[in-house]
Amino acid sequence: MSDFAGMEDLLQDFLQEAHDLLSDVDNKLVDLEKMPDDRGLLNDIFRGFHTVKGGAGFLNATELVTLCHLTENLFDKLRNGELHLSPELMDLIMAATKSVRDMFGELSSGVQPLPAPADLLQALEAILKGEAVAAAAPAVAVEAAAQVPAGDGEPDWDALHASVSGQPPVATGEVITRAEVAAAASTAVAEKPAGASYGRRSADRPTASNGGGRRVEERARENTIRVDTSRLDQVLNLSGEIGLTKNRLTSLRADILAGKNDSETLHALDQAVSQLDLLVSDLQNSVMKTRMQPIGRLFQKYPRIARDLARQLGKDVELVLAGEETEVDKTMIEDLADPLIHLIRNAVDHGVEGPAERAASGKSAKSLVRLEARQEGDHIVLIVADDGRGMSAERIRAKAVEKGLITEEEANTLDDRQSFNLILLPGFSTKTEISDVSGRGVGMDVVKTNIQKLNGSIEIRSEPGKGSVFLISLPLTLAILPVLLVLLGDQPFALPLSLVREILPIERDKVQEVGGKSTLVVRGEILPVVSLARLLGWPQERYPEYGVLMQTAERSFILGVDSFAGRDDAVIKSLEDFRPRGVAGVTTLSNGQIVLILDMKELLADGGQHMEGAGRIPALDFV
Amino acid sequence: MPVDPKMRILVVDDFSTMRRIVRNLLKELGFTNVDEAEDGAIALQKLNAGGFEFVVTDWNMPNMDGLTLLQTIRSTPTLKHLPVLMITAEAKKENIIAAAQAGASGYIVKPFTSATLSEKLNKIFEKMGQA
Repeated sequence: MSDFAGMEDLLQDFLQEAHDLLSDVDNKLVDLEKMPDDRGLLNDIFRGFHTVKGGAGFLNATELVTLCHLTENLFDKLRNGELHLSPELMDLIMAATKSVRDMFGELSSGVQPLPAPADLLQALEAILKGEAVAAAAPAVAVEAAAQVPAGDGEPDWDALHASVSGQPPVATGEVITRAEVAAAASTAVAEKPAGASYGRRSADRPTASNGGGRRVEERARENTIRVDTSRLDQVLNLSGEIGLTKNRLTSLRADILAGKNDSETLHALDQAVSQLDLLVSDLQNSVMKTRMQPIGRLFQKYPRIARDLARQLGKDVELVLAGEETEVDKTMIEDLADPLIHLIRNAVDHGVEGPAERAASGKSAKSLVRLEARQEGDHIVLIVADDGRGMSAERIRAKAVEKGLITEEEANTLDDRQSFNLILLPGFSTKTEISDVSGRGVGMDVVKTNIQKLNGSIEIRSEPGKGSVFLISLPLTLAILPVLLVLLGDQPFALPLSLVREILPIERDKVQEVGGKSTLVVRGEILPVVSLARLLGWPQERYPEYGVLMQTAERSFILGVDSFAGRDDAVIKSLEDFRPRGVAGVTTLSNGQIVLILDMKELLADGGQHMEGAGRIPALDFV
Repeated sequence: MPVDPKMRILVVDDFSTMRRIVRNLLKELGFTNVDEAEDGAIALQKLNAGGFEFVVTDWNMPNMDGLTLLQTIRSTPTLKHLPVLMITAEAKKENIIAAAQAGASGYIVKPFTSATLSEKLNKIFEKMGQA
């Protein structure tokens, strides 16, 4: 099937690197629109296409070489001032870039790319010819190329040497002709398929093969990771030192087993263990760091997406990036791609106003969408903020009621923050007309689900007229999960600490029955009390003494437990073959005891279906 | 002059895939003592540290391009004897002349096979042997 037998490794390397290059080119193109005469930018973009072309040549990806060659020539003329950037030219360049990206997709599914759309190639060639100083040269060269077998266009190096060092001009002429032939040979290659592709492919590319390609590529990407060698060296160093400490412990064990237990030996043991402790936690950190990648890699794609969308909608939007250097776990970066795209599209489509509306409300014509990442303690915070029209909590509540997502009574109990969270519900969309871009009523709930899968949370702030902010908070890594250990009788269970807001005693006389459900009032907020024993299907042997106030994106509630065993950084072991509902995984405590890590979302979903009375989650499900 | 397969070669290219391609091609020809540099500036640092006997460099690179690298090598007394093979995707007249004037030992156009590379290398070795 594959056109690249024996070259798979090379192909993978090429695609990964070329993808990064193209993202960089995309961003520079967005910058270029603002600074069309920036020579540095023009040079960088030129070099991007040039480099891709060079690599593609080795893969025999002729069509990719052709397209890159034409685009590169275009940038050559731009940087030499022979051509000037017009909006039409920019669109053509963008189309070329897209076509290059499409070809990457084809390559990643193991097939040689089809020629770029004929109209694109023709437009590129027309522009190159129209302004070219030596317009006749390519035509002549094409004829010459027909007589020269491909690959034989090498300049005669020796002859050139001679010619440059003062030989008769005839030699120079000859050499130059050959050089031109070589250049023309690639032009000839460029033109032939352009003609042949008529009817073979319309402007719309076969989407099925396209999508398939992308999937293959994503799978391939998950398997490889680029790591700074200095980080690997650090891991190697630490494991070496751990080996040394292990040797020390082995010899101490021999001493102790032989009956040597004087204070000096014990002191040495104490030291060795402490050292091992330190080294292992350093090693854990270092290994974790090998998985960390700057989130800028992901951010890179977005300015182009925002720009294209804004142009399509007739808006002037600038996507401002900040904190690109923030490092995030590699798997998380991949899983964040879709939610962030959605939030950005949402901001450009729904968040910011059109030019007329902005002018009417006295705002600058250009709207700003900010995409920012930063580390806050052991969390990564991602922010998508716009300076658009903002959201009205009142309108959102009304909409949710109208759509039957909540009842009027429920709506009345919601504050603004909770109201904004309603837009994360499946089937919610405030825009009445469905736009092509975002807003089919699907999406925001997917964003929320994806973020929750990463043990993260999403918060929405908005002010009418001023704009909206989507704040995503994520743990630094998925490998280590800070947990709260709670007890039911003697049995500990682990709860993800990210969901825990506070711990409070449950005073029996303060618990109120509302509609057959137990509730507690905490600082004016009525919260359901759920017994963990009931959720697990255990008999309720005694009244829970403590409550853990937990908050997920859709609800806040108090989980009733007997007692606490502390907090721990759990290393999650997933239960792959046997995974009971409501259990996210297991971890081992320092005393060797195995503890289940609970998946509150699943437990609550089950609890909602099967439980009645105190264990049941009351109707305020969405909060 | 017999060619020493242990010869230390520096491959200069900003595109790591390309460095790997060149490296693999050199390996096919029996040259295994290869080091890499990402641009002309880094290459120059490595070259100045000494020990290299051959340079294969791309033309178009950020920071310092291949032509500037070549010119710098030729104007540095300790490096000027180094054979430099220029690699580029362009077969343009002015490029080739510029490379020749700057003192390139050879010029090779992408894409190329190990046979082409071998031929170019042998030509350079021959010339070195004659000199």
